[in-house]
Amino acid sequence: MSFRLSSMSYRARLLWGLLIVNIPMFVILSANEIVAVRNFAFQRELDAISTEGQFLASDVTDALLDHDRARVNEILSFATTQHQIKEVSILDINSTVIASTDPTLVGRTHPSTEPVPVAKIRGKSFLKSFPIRGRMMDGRIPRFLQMNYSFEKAYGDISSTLVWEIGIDSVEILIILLVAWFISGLLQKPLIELRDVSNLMATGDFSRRVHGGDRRDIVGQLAAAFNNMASRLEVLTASMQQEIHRATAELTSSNKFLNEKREQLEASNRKLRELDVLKSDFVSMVSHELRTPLTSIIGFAKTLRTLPLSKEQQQQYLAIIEAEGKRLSSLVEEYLDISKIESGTISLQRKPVNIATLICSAVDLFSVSLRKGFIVDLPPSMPDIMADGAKVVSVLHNLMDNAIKYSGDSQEIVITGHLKDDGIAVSVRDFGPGIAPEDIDKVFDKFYRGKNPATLRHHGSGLGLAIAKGIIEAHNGKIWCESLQGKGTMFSFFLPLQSQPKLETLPPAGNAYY
Amino acid sequence: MDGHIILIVDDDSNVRELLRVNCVAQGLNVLTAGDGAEALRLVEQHIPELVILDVMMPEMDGWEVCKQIRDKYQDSIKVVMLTAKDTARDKIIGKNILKADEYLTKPFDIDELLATVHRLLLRESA
Ligand SMILES: Nc1ncnc2c1ncn2[C@@H]1O[C@H](COP(=O)(O)OP(=O)(O)OP(=O)(O)O)[C@@H](O)[C@H]1O
Ligand SMILES: [Mg+2]
Repeated sequence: MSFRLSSMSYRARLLWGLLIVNIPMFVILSANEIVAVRNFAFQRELDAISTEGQFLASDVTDALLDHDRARVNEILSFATTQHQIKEVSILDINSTVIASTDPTLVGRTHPSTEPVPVAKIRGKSFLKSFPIRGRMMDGRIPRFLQMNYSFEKAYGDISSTLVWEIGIDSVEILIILLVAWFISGLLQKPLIELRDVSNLMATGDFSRRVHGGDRRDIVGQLAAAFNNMASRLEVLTASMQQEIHRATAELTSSNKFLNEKREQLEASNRKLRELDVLKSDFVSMVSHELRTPLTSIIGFAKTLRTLPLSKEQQQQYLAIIEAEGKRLSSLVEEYLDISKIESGTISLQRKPVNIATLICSAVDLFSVSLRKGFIVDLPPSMPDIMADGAKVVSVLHNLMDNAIKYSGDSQEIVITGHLKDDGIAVSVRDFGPGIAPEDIDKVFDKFYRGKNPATLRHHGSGLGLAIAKGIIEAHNGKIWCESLQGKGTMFSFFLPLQSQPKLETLPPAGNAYY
Repeated sequence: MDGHIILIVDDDSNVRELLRVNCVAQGLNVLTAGDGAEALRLVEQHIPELVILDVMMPEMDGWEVCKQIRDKYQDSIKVVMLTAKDTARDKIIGKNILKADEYLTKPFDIDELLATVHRLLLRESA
């Protein structure tokens, strides 16, 4: 067999089994039946021949005794019209044909050689002889009537029986297969249900149960056991699900907590790094800015002591020492200011002050030669404001200092005061090269000095504007910068008239760094 | 010490003057420059025996000047770096990478500087 039973479905295997058992059984049964039918048919034919033959024999005997030859022929030819009689002959003791329905045989020895007392099958015929009596006829004494009886009817009966037999057998086999198919389907049904429900369980659905759990047979027991297992699994998975949910929720919340903590850590880390950068900036700036004036002071002091110098030289070097000393002290002042601003410990000594007076004192800080470029434009009268005069002067001084230092060849600087509804605004404008738009936001940053070499040529620590911003904001004011590259720069600040009450409700600026 | 030409480079005019007056007192011929470009121009013009070089200067800093001198004149011109930068990193850059002959930090002691200058010039003439 080119296929393997084991690879076939359960039902196909069953049907194949049935076929394999049934077909030989039907073959044997059919063969048996056919033999029986054949025997029966033969017997029937033989009986018919005997009866027929007896009648014929007595009729022929009568005619022969009457010596009526014509009647003999008549009887014979009539006989051939009857039933399946193919040939009738009258033979003498030597089987020579005296008279026959087959004229070719007359006068010759009958081909069946000798008379047959009992039925004998020859090919598809029966041969049977019956004794007769009669007078000499054509010089021979008739002794037998031999009949050749056709076998065809019997054969026809047998073959039609065979056809019927095969037909009925096939139908029977078909019915058996159909019934088997149906029954196997019925038997399979609970298995199929088990399979489907198991598949559902595999996807996590434990709610389904199979039918037939109340039956007593093996399938019922299996169904009951299966349902029992499904129920337990359902309970188990439900509790596991709950456990997982709880654990997941716990994890998410602790994750969230960790994330928050991490973000906090990252933020403080970032702040620390920024502080670190600021600190190292500060250290290198301080080291450079402090070392340069110190070099001059120490160097010239020693030079004055050791070298023989002219009076003018001595004066010049002493002036340098004084200037560098001042520069040093103002640097130290600036560092102290910025650290106070950053730590939020800046303290303002507020008194009613007049802005015009402050502008004048700021201008006075410059040498006469520098002062001549200043143009001061103020409204006729300005109200006093509550402010720390010295600190506002230092802001103004830095703005003017920057305007001088960073405006190149243009020597004109305009200082304007404006009276606003709720305060006063002051701006310091120069006509220098200005500040690039992308750098405007940075000028108030600590240590920012720009990249312009012309700017860097001047001394400076990059703290001036950062301090100015801190001071103005401590007054609840605002400082800002407008600049057009190539056209000049204008720094302005605004101080409110009534800043005192507001300030006390506000925390000190920059209190992040304690 | 007479006749040796040295170049003093510093963007701070006071420091420049301080160095100048002390070196002149030693009998040296002193040139001064306020920035890197001027310094290189003077080096080319006068080929000094020694350069005292500040590091932090606008535009072209002392490192760059030192590098260009080394590229062009190798060891024939002595270089003394004089700077406020006193970290180990800066010293390594100055001495090992740019091959300055000396590395002094501000504020410096005038006598120490002059001694260094003498030493380098003597070694040169020896
Ligand atoms: N009027 C101006 N025109 C062009 N650039 C300016 C002007 N004012 C300030 N700047 C730029 O802003 C930078 C910061 O100024 P800031 O006053 O804070 O520091 P500084 O003047 O360099 O040093 P110092 O601490 O001595 O004041 C300057 O270095 C300069 O590049
Ligand atoms: Mg300034």
